[in-house]
Amino acid sequence: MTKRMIVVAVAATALFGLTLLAAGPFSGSWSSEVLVELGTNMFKSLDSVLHLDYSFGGFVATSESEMYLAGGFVWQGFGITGQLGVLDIQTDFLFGPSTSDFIYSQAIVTMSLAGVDLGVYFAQLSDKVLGGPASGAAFRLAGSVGAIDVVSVTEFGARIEDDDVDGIIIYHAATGLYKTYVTNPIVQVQTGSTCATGGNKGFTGEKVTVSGLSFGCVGDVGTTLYITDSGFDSFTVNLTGIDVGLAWLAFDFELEFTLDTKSVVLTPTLVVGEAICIDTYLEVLTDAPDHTLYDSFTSITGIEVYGFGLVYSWDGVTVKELTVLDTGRYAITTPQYGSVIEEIATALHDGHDVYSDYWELFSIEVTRPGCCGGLTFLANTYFSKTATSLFGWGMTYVEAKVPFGSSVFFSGSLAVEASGLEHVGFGVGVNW
Amino acid sequence: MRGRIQIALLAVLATGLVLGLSACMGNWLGTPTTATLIIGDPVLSTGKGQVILSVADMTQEGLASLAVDLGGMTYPAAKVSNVVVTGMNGFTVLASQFVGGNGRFVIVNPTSGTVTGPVVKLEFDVTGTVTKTDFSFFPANIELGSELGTLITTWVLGTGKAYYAN
Repeated sequence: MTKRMIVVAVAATALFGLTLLAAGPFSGSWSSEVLVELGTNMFKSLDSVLHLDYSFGGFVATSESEMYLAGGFVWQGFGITGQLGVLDIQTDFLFGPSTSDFIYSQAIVTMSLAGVDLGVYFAQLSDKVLGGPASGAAFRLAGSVGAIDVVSVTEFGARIEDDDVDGIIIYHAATGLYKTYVTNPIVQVQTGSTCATGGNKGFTGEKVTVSGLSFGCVGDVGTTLYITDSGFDSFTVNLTGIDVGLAWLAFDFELEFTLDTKSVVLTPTLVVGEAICIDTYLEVLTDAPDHTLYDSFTSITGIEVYGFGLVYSWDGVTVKELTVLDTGRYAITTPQYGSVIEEIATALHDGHDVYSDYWELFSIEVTRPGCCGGLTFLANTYFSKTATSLFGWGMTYVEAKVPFGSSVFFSGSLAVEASGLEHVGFGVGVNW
Repeated sequence: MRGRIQIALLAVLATGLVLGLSACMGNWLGTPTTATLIIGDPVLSTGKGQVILSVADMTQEGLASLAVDLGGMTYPAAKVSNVVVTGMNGFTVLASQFVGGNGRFVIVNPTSGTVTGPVVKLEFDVTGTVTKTDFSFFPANIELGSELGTLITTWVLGTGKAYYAN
């Protein structure tokens, strides 16, 4: 799609959105941002997101359209949420407008009955997606007996996101943009299988998790049993916060049985008090690469201070300073992900963007109440160990959002690196 | 009246749910998943372009290194120039060379493997228009390494689908 077509499409969706302002049951928002890079490539990106809500009979129908200069009209989502008696209902549909394809849908129905949470999850993934076609359902029951929490998930071709299992992530191959959903239909279809020969119809897994038990020296005891349609898969026992008699040291213990293996992993953790103003980021080191204890890796070799930070807020003003000492394993996340120190491997797993080139951040943020999230101003300055500029300055990033009236806001952003201006961005948004 | 409508809607919903769940789920004729190296379609903008390489369903804890050797990638040098390789999702570039329409590069992720997701971005200057047929990749000259430190030998080149999932 050409740039001209994108601009026309953005303008069209904007006008369409503005015509809905007067319509009673409609609400929503439209925002657009242009990032400009000085030089031969004038437009770095042009994004437009239109979000529409239509309320009817206790339900809200949602439409979300996402268009980008790089990639065109990438996502079109529809959803309905609401209550029907005791039932909470959520449905999501995802389409790929650039190829006119249906991509994914999920339906979630939940209810609480006599202290027990019941949930039915159903999802379909189109054959237009590599990894599809797939479909499946899962049933979730959760309840408590005293302090003990019990969760049962019965899988009929689908898994649902929890602490152990990811949901589904659907990527747009050309741009790397992605969408995430809770229900992940698992492809277990054999080539040539039909409805008559079974397909993936029927039971595929059962997971029972029990947690909340505590003993005097153990903070929390949890167990997870997982069986599949092929039989026993795994049984895991987790002991969290084992008190070993040292005020500054505790252990997390994981014992896992699979069909042909048994493994034990101990993770030492430091017990530190509440910091008054400066947070120190500490980790216990062992002789194992991942700094746990297992098999022949049995030695605690030291304590690493991998960073420290200062955060102080008053009257809507927040000043932050973060320093990463171990830049090989840790990094500062981008403003979008909160500007915190995070292990790089964890950030990658969770889909968080990090600045791996910078080791120090000075930040000031100002917020004031108002329309559409209020007035915000953020200025971040990063320092690099490899930069040759003054003080090792690496980059300064500034962004601001200014409300105008009760429903309109304007935004701007600027990023300057040692090599020059990285981008200038302008944005506008309307809420109604 | 309102109560009847709710009951009717509930009945319709329940019927649909039962039919959906009792239907032959997965009766499409699918194929078992295979480790796949995905070449994204070129994205062009004001004289610049990019191609993203992704992976899906990588085995052995995920992809941790990718080596495209000489002959592993070709492109039209008359239309594509100044190619720059950038690692994504923790991958860093160890070496790269793009000369005369032949490209080769090595990327590595020292901290973890990627099972499904983007791993590398090729950015370039464009003269005229390029399409996905202008970029060719040849598996015989491409090596994939896993987080376990072993070669991933069973994989296919993925083309033709605009979307992929974990």
